[in-house]
Amino acid sequence: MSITILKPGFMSSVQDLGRRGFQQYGVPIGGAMDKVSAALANIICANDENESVIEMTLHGTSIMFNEAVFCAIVGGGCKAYIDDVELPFNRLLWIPAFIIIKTTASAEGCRSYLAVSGGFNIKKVLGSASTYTPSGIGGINGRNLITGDMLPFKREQDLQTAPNLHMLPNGVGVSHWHTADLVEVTANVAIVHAIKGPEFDLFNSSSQENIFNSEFTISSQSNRMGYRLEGKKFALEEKTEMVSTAVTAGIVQVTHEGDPIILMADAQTTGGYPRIARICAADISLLAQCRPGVKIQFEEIGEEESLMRYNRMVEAMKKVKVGLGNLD
Amino acid sequence: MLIPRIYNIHDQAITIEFAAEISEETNLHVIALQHDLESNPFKGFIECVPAYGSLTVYFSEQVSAASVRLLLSDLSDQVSNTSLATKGKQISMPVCYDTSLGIDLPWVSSHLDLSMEEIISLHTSVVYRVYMIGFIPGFPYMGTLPERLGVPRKQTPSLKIPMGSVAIAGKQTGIYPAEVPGGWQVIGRTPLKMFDTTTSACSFLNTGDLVTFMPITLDAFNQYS
Repeated sequence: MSITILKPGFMSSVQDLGRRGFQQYGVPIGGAMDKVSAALANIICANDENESVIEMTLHGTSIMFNEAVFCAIVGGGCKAYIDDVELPFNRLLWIPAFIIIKTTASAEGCRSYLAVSGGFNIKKVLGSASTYTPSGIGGINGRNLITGDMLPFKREQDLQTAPNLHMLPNGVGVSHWHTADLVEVTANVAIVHAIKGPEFDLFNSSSQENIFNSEFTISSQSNRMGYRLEGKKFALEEKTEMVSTAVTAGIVQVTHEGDPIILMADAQTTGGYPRIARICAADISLLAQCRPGVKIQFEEIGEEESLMRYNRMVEAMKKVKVGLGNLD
Repeated sequence: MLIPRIYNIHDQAITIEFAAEISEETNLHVIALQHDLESNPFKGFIECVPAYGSLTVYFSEQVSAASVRLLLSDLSDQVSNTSLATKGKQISMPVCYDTSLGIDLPWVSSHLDLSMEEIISLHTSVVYRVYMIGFIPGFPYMGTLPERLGVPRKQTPSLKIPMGSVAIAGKQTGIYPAEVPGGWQVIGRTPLKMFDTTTSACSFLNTGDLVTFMPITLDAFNQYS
């Protein structure tokens, strides 16, 4: 009742939808970078959306299935294979025992999520299974996955309820249905909707113009805490020392050197840099699918539109859930 | 009190900022509002993050951002006096100021032209308020440092500051709960665990706590562990 990590690839870790309620003690929300895809993988497996999943960054991951299992892969950044048979994403998969899934490079996206039916049996720390490496908590011993890690399933797979699957020659079952792709994945220029940040007015006029009128490249110095952007530099009209206040994923802060950083899932809970913009919450998953080198352009929207886009995303998720519930 | 500024930092997180300054009065107001919200949470309320002069409220899609804004604006007007009187824990923290642990103590001493003994007696002479927890899990931002102890941050942050390091910068003092890079000047180390997920609160200190430092010898420090 488990899988074994044969190779973690670029980086793989256990995540769920994050750790809530401990930010006042400095504990970040964390969780999957692309929470929409992580939730979708769980929904396909008929799990609670917040079940733990494996977040695979780019490719090179190799996983041994020690037992037959229902699972799903959602996201981007890789293609998944069993020998030379490519596995479809966004579908329920039936994987027989003693099979190895390997991921290889794809042109688009950055992170993919593997969920198994019933979920992985991972001890929660502060209410979440999410791995947060700076404090060494969550996941397997608070670290990213390494070769040899074994992740047990929560429960035995119920073969009796196996839905009507299309069987591939290698014994792998694939559902006829698939869910919609809720997160757009791009290899070129990603349009990211953004709202003026709390300190927008403190920036000089060229900074105010450039944030919405120029292109930025996601730097290779990007990680789960934040994306560093290369492009135009920013400066305040007058130098001011800020007093620390709360920050969260989606905030675009500007360092003293003038470089913008978009805070991502493992963002620290508070910060003292001026915030020139914030990303519409509905676009954070899209950003999570942008790898270093991808260009992004901020398109300015207002508070209302941001909220509307967010609600639209929530509705789309609900629709998928209802749709799958009606499938049996 | 000034009219607070209310703004979104996320579609599901709103900050109410009373003042962008370090003041005890403002911080008390922040904590009082936090207590009011936590003791009587609205539908969809997830959590609060207090900072020096602001409180940020996280909520779910069960509630609209507009109604949270309204609620915060109303509540901030009538923060109850009973909450304002709420006091944090009073804690005496053992700190070893031996230069093998307080590695920047000699630099601070020459920079301020004070003997190491004078620095230790100044650092242990006042009661510090925990204004907020942030930066990394369990890191307390405490003030206010005696004026004579004001030192700048390091030009280049150290790559590794040991766990438990007690450090100073500007008007503040803080404690590193884990081994991380950092830019404050390290003058001592506490043997206490600042962040521990096996305890219910996980952070040893909380916003609003009042802290004094008690000097201990290197022997006493080693006996703790």
